[in-house]
Amino acid sequence: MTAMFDRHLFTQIGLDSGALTMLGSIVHSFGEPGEYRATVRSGELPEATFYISVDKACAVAHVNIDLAALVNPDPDTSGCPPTADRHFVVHPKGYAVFHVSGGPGGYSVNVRRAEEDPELKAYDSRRLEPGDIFSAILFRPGRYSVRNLLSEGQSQGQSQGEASVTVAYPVPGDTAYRPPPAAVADCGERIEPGHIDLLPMQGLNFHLRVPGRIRIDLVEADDGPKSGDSAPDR
Amino acid sequence: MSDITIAASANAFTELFNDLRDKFTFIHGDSRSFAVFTASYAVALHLEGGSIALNNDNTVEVTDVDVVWDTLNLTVCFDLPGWCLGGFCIVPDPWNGCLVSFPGFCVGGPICAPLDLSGLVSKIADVKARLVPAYFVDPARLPAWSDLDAEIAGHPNKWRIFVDPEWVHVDPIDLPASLPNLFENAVKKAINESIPSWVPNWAKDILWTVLGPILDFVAGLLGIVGDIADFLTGLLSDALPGGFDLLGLIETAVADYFAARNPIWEFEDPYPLTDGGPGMHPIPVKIPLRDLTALIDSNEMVVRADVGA
Repeated sequence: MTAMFDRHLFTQIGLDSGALTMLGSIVHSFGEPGEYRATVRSGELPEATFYISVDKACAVAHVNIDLAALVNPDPDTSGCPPTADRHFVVHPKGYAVFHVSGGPGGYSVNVRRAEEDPELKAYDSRRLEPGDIFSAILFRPGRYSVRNLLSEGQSQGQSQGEASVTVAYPVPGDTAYRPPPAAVADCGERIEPGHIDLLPMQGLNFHLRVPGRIRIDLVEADDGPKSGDSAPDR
Repeated sequence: MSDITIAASANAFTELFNDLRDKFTFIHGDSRSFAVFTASYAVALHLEGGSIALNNDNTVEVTDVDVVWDTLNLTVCFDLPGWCLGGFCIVPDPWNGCLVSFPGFCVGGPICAPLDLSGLVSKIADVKARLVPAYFVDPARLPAWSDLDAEIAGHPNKWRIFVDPEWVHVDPIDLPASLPNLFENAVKKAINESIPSWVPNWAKDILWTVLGPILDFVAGLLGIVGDIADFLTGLLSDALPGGFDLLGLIETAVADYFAARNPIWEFEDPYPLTDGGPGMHPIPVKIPLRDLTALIDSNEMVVRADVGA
């Protein structure tokens, strides 16, 4: 019997806030009440549409929006067009959490006011806004580079808009391991701190202070104290 | 005074009993669902050895019969929620801990840990029984048949003498001290086998780290309070609510086997004095038996019966 393991959890090592996979999520607060129409995009192509009501009368502080489920909804045998699971409601000061529950992902989100007013700027998750949070979990032990792709070209040196992260290799202990609370990084003109040490499965939250697109790449893998088979008797 | 008396010495009775004992087999299986796990077992056993004592109080006592577990497999299945990602906080809530969490997902699935305890030997400590005669009417015998017809057809009525246990006491299964280790290894093996081969080693190492000590993990998952060995023993016995009560099953099976299903001796009724044939008696000579009794003293088994329809 084989357990349920999503292959993409272990094969997609890097992250890009502009192309969300299972390992990342974006937290965005709309602020302005209103009706919003949004599309899930893979590259430039819209894959699915959904709606967000940002309503003062709604006490919902956060709403999880699973982009994978929007793109690949469960088969509907009713014959009716799916609507209920494509409409989300959140308080203006609440948060929409865009995430990918499975599959290869690679999604971004584009959100516009339903009024179609050209003066109103769309929200494009490929360009995170100040106040957004990009939350990541790095499974693969090793050393990573973190860059704000939108700060490149503006930076005066390599240190600006770039940081490094080290993810420790897991070491079985006398008790079950539980990761500590997520680490926090500020993504302003610089990413602070410039180096982040993470324990296995520890989350990492980037708080955007400037427009940004966070990209995390594995620089050097850490295969642990052994490079052979995983010991079956552990 | 009885018309017919048949006796079997203590040694002969012992032979009869041993023959009966050797034919005893018990094969059984069952599965049950508990709150967070399911368990199943398969057993096959036979009996060996033991000492027989005929008592003057009309009882026979059998002690120290070995229960040889040719098969004793116990399987515990549960969902492995071992690897839940997420849950870490993104936006803290000053009042309620966390306002927004990383949407989590779990990898894992159902796993089954089989324990093979075959080859164990436990004991029936004590069986105390009386002899009970019972009249058996062969259900295959047709109403119109005469006794001769029934004998020719192979379905005669019979007097049967059963060893009817007053009690059967089976000692608790003496599970090995290494039982927790066996279970731990079974769970590890099951988890390993549940992980697809393409999962990289570093990911497996994360899994084992998150799971932690396997017995602690399983104990927490299954809600086991106390020792794993006690839990498994309780599962096989009735110490755990809903347990399989194997000892009770065996005691019942042994009692049923001797008391109702397999007589230690049986006589055709009418009892054939001669088989019949071309000599003096061309047809069999048979006498009906009634009021058959079977008694025991320290020397022998004595069966008495009267002749008459």
